[in-house]
Amino acid sequence: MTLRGIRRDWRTGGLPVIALALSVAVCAVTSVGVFNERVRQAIQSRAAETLGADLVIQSHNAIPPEVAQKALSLGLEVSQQVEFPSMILTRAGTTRLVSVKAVDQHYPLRGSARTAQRPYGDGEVAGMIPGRGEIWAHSRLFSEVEIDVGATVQLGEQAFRAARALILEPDGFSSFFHMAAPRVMMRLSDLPTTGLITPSSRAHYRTQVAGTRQGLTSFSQWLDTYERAGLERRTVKDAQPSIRSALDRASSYLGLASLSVVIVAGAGIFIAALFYARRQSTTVAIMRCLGASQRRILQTFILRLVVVALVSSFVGGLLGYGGQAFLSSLAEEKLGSTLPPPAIWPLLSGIAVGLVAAVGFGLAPLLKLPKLSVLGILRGEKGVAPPSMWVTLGLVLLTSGGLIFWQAQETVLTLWVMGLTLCLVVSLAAGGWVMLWLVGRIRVSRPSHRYVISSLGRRLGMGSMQVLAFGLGIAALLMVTVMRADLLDGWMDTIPIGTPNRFLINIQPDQHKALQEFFVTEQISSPGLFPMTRGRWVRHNGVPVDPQAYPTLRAQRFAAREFNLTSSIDLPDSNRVVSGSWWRAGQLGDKLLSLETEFAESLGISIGDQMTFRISGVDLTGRVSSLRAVAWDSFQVNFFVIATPGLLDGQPRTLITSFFLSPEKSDTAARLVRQFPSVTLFDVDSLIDQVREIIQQVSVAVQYVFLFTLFAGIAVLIAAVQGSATERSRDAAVLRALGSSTRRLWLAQFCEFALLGGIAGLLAAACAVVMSSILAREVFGFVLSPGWSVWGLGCAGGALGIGLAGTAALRRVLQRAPLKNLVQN
Amino acid sequence: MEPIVTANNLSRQVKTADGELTILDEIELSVMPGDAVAITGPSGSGKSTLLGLLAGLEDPSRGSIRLLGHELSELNQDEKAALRAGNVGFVFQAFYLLNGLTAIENVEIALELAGRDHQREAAAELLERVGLAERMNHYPPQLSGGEQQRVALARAFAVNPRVLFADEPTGNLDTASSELVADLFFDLRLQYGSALLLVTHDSTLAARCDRILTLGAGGRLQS
Repeated sequence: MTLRGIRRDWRTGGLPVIALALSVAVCAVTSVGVFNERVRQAIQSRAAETLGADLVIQSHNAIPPEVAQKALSLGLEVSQQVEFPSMILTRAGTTRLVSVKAVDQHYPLRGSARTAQRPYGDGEVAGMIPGRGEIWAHSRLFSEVEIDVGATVQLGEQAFRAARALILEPDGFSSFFHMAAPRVMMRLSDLPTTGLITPSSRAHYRTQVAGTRQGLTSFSQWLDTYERAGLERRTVKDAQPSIRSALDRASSYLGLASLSVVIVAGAGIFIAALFYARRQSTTVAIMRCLGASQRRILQTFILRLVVVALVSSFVGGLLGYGGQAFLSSLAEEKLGSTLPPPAIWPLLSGIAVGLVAAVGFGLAPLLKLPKLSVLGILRGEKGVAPPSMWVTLGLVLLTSGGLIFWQAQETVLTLWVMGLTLCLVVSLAAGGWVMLWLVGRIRVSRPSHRYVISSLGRRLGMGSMQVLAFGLGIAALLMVTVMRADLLDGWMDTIPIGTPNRFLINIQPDQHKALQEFFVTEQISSPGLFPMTRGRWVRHNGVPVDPQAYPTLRAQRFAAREFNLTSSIDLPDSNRVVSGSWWRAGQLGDKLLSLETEFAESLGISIGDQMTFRISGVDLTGRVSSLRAVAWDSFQVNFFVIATPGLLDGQPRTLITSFFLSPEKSDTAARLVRQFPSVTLFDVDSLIDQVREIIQQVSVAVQYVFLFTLFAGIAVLIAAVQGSATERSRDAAVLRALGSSTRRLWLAQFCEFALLGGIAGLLAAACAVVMSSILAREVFGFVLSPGWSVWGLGCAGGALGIGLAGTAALRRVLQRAPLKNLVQN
Repeated sequence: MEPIVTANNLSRQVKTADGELTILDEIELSVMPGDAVAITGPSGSGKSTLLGLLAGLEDPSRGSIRLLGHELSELNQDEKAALRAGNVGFVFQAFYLLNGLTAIENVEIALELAGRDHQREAAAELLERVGLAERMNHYPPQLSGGEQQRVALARAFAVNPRVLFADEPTGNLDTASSELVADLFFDLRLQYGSALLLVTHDSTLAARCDRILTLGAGGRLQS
């Protein structure tokens, strides 16, 4: 019965458009889901290089062997390390504190170390770890203890040959500001011969783990149940702030791009369901006459919708799963790297999305069917009343909200996108209504011109619905095309060529002048020297700080470590106050603090809280007056805590600076370290490369997501054109009977659609500019300057695209013999 | 004098689930200028289809039609439309006015398509003639069925057609409106001297024509 009904409805129209919109939505969600997941994994894998693994477990005590055994049993790769401070002794009798890292032969599991033949030389990828009896030392150590590569040094009871200069260790960034001593890397198997590690030694033990998503999830679940005090877990989420920040932005962007597909396809389903309900009015009236109850009618049509949704979602899902393979192969070609294999869950969730979207977007128009006026329909006076605004709004908001949250996995982003989508829908519908009303008021003398204009003016309801549908499609397309470029350019501009790629720390205040002279001589520009005072956080609102009392490991780490405090009169460039206010000129002598917002949140610190730091045995207390969002991926010198000059005056301090060093000036680094042996120089080129690579990967991914938004937009267009096709075909037949030529008919249809498209395009461009500017500021953290092309493309592209597509969609109607159109209507 | 409409051996078949169904079978018909011919017959006998074929709104399966001296099978859709513009008037049972245009604009558009001058004045004059002087700027949905059909009459006669095709012009109207529209229809026809092909169930209306043809079972036309 249901299948027969579906077959009949399929012929009379309505259902095919719902099926098409659903298939496109599910196809898009599935392919984008699978594709995004693969790109995200590729990006995460790249980012994992800053940890040297996918997951790191660390402890102050030796890690029990069952941890590594469990990881190995799950098919994961494992590497073990020990890190500890020690003294090194040269043949000349010079001693120096170093940070020793003993690694096993599997190190690193992600990324690779780079070494050179000479200090600060061009690093080469090290395919292995130091040989037996050998160490690799940071370039800085060679200048500090005045030895050359190949020299022998004593480490504990064992002599080692300093075989190479260690240029880069992939997992060395996370702690580089805290590593006052230069790094020395050695084989783990050589460690017992040194006699340096005893049960009471102060050391960090690490187990690095890498492997498949499934294996890592199982291992993490096992770790959750493995209760052993002092085991700390680190993942990509705990990676270096610049990488984490870039990952967060990448994730937001990919999520947003997918959402645009769902929202546009949802509009298509809603419009198709409206059209379907209208087409079913006579059938329903007859069913009512024959005694069918309202409940039965509703059940019948909901069942048909669900069956169609199931079939189309399945078809769309399969097509999407196939489609992502094509996308991925294109993306792999552009990215020059292989994406991880696809997962099956996006297919299942795509089908689930289809069902949810069908009910959420398609149910409201059907709810009115059982309540239509039977007599009105049979007399041909009334169609189906539009669905209740509140029911529609409720269902659409609930569905969109659920789908957006499912895609974004983030409440703030969901609320932003929901709010913006609601504003977009209201602006497009209201703006469309007003503009069509104004167009309808334009006076033209020729009736055929008047026909075009008045058709729009008279069909205000359907017209504004079409403007809304077209506008949603165009806005989504503008967002992922023109604004995509602007958003990504804006993001890329945060790390332009010349971004500081060297950090210099431990600069003594008396070296200030000499260092600036060095910069002038070497023609290096630096953003300036910033004071840095180390202090331990001891009290929060007068209560002693207990790091173990914090619920997250990240917060525990923050609370336990020494802070790098700075003072500043002005708000640094890559910072933005998100709560409270930056200090005014009259407050510089006050004891105020400004905190990085995520840092404050994880430690539960709010505006107005008192924080006490112990600096060289002296306790200093300041009040938190502002919270800042910091663009860590700008690679400027940034701090979690900034104080007013009044708070830190007179405290011991060193200076920090950053600068850009072009590859051809690599000798400058060696000269700098020779002239200022006590300063520590860090190279962050590879970090910058990683962030740039992430942006590049997102850019490529979004280009392909765009294709699906285009398909979803086309489904909306077909749905919107179908909605008015009956009236248009009747009008076309009448004009034909009166003697209108084909050209005139085409032109009239084109002009009408082009006018609709132009209006929709103009409104969509305005919405896209406003939305992208808000997203850029609130989600991506930079100011967007949209180009003029968005307006031109919106208006002209909208008019031409909708004009051509709309006319093409009505091609059959326009070419059919007039009598057929009249009989059918 | 040449007939204004002729049909020779005209047949029309359609495909159905049960095979091919013959709607019209070997129709022979000739209408001279100024003639008024009524076509009657039971529902589903193919009267409206015959009217549509004769006006070039649909193509026959077999046979030939000459309209205003032109063999329709030799003309494409645009040439047929050009032939109708200014020469042929239509009145449909369902009125078929353009809902986006006012009453006067509905009449004007027929004049514009026929390439006539002074469209506004001519349209206004005709609407006055059919008693809608006060309703010229109303849109079709704002008019009653009788008023809409009067606008359709004004539109049909505005171009001074040589032949008028009318399909149940009073079929959708109540008795009072029906009589008013019928009177107006035949008065205007007399005034403009157009030939008329009228499809109707209404024997009173058919009786006002010069000839009555009946489309019987099997799609054959009988006098």
